[in-house]
Amino acid sequence: MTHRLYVPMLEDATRYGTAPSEPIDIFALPRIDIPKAAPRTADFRAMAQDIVKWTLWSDRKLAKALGTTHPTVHALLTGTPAVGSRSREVLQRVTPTHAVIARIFVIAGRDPKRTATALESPSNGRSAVAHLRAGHPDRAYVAALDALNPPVDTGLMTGSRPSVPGEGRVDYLAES
Amino acid sequence: MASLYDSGWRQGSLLQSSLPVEVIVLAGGQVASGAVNHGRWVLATQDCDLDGTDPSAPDAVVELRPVYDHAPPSARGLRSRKLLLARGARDYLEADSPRAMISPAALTEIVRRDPAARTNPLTPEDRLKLKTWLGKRYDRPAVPRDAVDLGKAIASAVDARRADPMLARFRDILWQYQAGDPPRFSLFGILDEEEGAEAARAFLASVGLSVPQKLGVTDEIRVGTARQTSLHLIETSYSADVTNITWQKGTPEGAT
Repeated sequence: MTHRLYVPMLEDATRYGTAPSEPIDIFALPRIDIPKAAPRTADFRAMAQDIVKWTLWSDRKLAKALGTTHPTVHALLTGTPAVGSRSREVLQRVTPTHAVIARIFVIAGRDPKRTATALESPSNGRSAVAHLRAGHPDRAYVAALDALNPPVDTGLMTGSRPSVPGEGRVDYLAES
Repeated sequence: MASLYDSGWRQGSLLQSSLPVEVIVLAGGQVASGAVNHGRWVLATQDCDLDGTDPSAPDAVVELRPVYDHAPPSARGLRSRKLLLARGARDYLEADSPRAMISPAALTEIVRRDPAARTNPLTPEDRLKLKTWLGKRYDRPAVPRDAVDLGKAIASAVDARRADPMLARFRDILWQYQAGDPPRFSLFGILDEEEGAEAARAFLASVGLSVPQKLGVTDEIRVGTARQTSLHLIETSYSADVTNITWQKGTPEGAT
């Protein structure tokens, strides 16, 4: 279904190269990706507090995951203005670390102890915490998943959630 | 008796010849037919049928699909709407394109007049992918309505990584899901080669982390070659290949 919308601001549109009063199909316009605003300091604090809630980590343990010191973490958690040239680097780690741990917490049944264990246990020689500290949240995620559910080599990938023919279905290629 | 196969035709043979393709549409309230000419084609008929066909047969029994190059897809998914014919090339087929039926006699005459009109540039692997794709176009499991946003988010996350060289290592990315709060989904990567499996899993993890948590959490990430992929997985999974997804209202709500 095409939506056509008259955009009054383009009524004097000759300078834009279009005829005046021409309706604009807004869904045919080029997509503009508006970057998300960077998180505010309060957001980082809230994310750090979430992480502690999900893992019951001490300041030192969180510091390990963020690749910083526990005084810096304490400042982050209490909202004290951060000091040091590395504080920006630490803040940049918070968002992806939060994303990883939020999901691992869910997969671990919302159990902080299980979550922490999954993050701290080595998988293929390295723990999720080590990967986070190295700035690799994707590898951290894989390591934590493997710690929670160690992969079993069955020879063939088969899938544990097969789609079932006959269930009410939508061909999403035709979805409009 | 010599056959089209004996004459050098294969499923995947490329034909360079300006031929009309006819479509039937509603125009001005009337059902009407129209034809457009296209200059490049791939022969879609299977080899076994070519092997049993007389090159002088007059009936239009051989299927041709138009070859495009103006908007190639970024990946070569088995269920994609677009199929790249060869790695690194721009030539591709579109699932929804019109197709032409041509007689063996006409094919034979085209090549008689211009031997260079037919080429066979596809590798055996390319031809196998073409064969699989042609077969799968009529066998796509659709998702339940409650999984459409998840599917679009996964595809969007893959699309956002189209410039990542790692994506080119995947033949396809499949997913399965189960409803929940939040839904859980599995990601499966079918690789061209077994080497670098851990890096491939990390790539899929980054895809999973880009899906808004409220739409789904990935709790299983596996990769393997085609040899390591069961037919059951292919038949019962959804494809994350981005060319499978179209939507007309911009990105789904909440997608990063």
